[in-house]
Amino acid sequence: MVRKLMVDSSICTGCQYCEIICSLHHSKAGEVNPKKARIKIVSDILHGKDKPVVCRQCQQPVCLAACKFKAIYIDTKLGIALVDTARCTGCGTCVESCPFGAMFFDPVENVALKCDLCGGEPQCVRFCRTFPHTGYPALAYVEPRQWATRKQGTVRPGEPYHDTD
Amino acid sequence: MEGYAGRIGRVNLSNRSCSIEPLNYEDARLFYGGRGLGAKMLFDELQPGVDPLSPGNKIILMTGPLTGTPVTAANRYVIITKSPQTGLFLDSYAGGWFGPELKFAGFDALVIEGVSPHPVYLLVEDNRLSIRPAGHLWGKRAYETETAIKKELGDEDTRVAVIGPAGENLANLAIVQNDYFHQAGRGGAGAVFGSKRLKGIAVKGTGGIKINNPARLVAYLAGPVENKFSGTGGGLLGSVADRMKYGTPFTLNITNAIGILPTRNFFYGQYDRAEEINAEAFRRKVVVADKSCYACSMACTKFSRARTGPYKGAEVGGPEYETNALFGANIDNPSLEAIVYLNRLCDDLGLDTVGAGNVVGFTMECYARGLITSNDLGFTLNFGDVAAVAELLEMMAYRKGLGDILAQGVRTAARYFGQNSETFAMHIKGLEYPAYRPGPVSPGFGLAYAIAERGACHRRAWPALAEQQLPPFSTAGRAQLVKMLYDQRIPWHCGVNCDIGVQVPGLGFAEAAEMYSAVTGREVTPADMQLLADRVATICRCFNLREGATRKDDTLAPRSFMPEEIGPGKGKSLSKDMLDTMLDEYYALRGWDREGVPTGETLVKLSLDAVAEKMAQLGFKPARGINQGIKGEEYRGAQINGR
Repeated sequence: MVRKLMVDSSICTGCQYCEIICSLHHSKAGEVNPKKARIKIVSDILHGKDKPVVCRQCQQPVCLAACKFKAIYIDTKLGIALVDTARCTGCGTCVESCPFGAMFFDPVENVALKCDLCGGEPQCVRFCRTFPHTGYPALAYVEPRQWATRKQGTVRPGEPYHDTD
Repeated sequence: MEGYAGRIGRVNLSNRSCSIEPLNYEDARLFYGGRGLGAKMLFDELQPGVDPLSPGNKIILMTGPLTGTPVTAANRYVIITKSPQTGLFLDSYAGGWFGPELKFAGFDALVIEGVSPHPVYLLVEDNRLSIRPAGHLWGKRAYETETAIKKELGDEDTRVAVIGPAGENLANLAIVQNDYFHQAGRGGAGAVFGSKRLKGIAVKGTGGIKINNPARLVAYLAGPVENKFSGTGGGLLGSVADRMKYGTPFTLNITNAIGILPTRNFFYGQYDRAEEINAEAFRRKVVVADKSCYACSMACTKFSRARTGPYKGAEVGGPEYETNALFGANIDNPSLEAIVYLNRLCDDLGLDTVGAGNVVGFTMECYARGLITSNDLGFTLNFGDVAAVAELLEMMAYRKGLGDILAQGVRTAARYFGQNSETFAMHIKGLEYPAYRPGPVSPGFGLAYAIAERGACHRRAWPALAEQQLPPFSTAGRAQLVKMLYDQRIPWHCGVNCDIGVQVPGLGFAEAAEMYSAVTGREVTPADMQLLADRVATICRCFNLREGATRKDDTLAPRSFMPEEIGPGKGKSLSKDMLDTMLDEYYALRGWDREGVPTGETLVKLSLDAVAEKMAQLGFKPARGINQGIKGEEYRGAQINGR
């Protein structure tokens, strides 16, 4: 079974370490720039809500189907869609097509930005903090089945955790 | 050097000119950034004796070489200016995302000078600065203003710092608020914004920050730094796990146990209803979610909501320990829901919850003693009366009635009320005490307060727990401890990192040096960090000396010398002799003379030759009396009447 990034928005603190580390990892110039990350925290600071938006690594990628320039292809090693930046024209069609809003765009380089799972070792997951009182990080690189088990289990032992809207 | 944006934006609001200057890398090598570099710029650029609310004062909004990088909690900016509250050096910090965004927009710092003829806000966009009209925002409260600016610019991701009505009305207790829940709270930076008719600053940046050696930095963060988080932590601020779970309100359990929790205007050091507002109660009753600033693993911003009672529905990012203590124990209010409400109200009005909580406690004591009556206020003001407190806060922000006096802080209020009220006006150099009560059980906190250059401040050194390891009711080891704790924060104040985010896991000089080196590419050592700390402490001292502060100002409020009524220190007191002993020792450790003036050798040793020259020109003597805000009245009057 394919492993992918799974998200628990209810315990995301909005620290942006995922975006920070993602942008640095993928930067050839050694730059931190969260706006070039392939993961995005959508924040509603005023109401205390943060939602990490991650690529779902679809089995039949909508972005791939949408690309008219064959710039998106299936990588054989991980079995996920990747962007061939040499072919990418920066038209943005894939960004518009993604039903999850998880395809991003680099306006400076004029290319689409897609999560490549860092070749199988997602750096965002590495830096997503597990808090002792919640017991889980907001991001994990797991099989969806494992995630489902976690959701049904004793997610946050001990402490009641309020997110009651 | 990497890490820096390399540019400083300079804005003169008097003639509406904006310019971009290169960063002075020579200064950046000596002072790093943030508090250090800002102090150097303020010392160089400000005319001695300038009135804090006059066009001659400047707002120096600094980031540092670490701001916006992946370095632990490198999310802050600092406003360096001359404080209207103390007339002395002010560095006021805030977290959130505003600081990193300024770097992404291509600036290490903004210097704002002059005064605009009409309300404006500043827009910073990728290497561009522009001044925009803010007449339509003037008068709006803080939360509404931030939302309005974001809407106007059509970009939700814009980072905005604003002032509320308190800042517009030049209240000494006025804050600058950014990203809704983050405040540069202390010392009246908001009033300096207001005096320049600067409603706020909006920042949008799409650029990146270059890291010299990303692999080295990431490996260090994932290795040694991570181990500090997963271990037991530094221990000096409590365990990592407790701080992650309870945030700063965990402190209330500590201070109440030690006997330094301010209760009923600092009269007592323990609160008999502390269990209703302590860390566990806080988490159980009001916390909704754990929230972080940029690049922080502590998540100490606890998003809270009043779920029951008359204030049901009130939400805030916080409250922090200071707010829980000062709007809780200090005004004898055991309701966390009410604290959430008052915190939100203070933010919205643009008032510092620390200063305001202290002033409210003072006013309640004046009322209880009959110094003021309901005729003066228009309502009764008994301890614990939350509705009356809300009324009083509104009066302060809008400078109505007695609020006009109270908004200037507890020092001014005590002068106005007279009748010995100064004996229980809890301030140092004009800045209100935060929520620690120096006394016989914590002489070290007395020293930490007394030597803090911005007035009574808990963020120079935090000896609350460490001091408990030293001989009790004694001055032994306090000077060394306070200097060590003070110095350890300076690399982070120059970074600019958050104290909680780095101090709780116990990141010190070694970690600072390694991460500075990895980010900037300039190899520095822990010894360099010590030198930086001494240099920054000394230049801040020189600024204050130049403004007329002397050893006499390094003291405590009279109440701090009274014998304890209850608690572990019952019957004992912190004497003035004890404070003098600690001051002597502390000055000596710093290489300052008995009057607290840095010696010529110290200045030269710290590469502060230019500062030494300027100090020599002034004869190393106080140039003028400490600014009491009296001249400020002219400007206050003129501004308020002129609108």
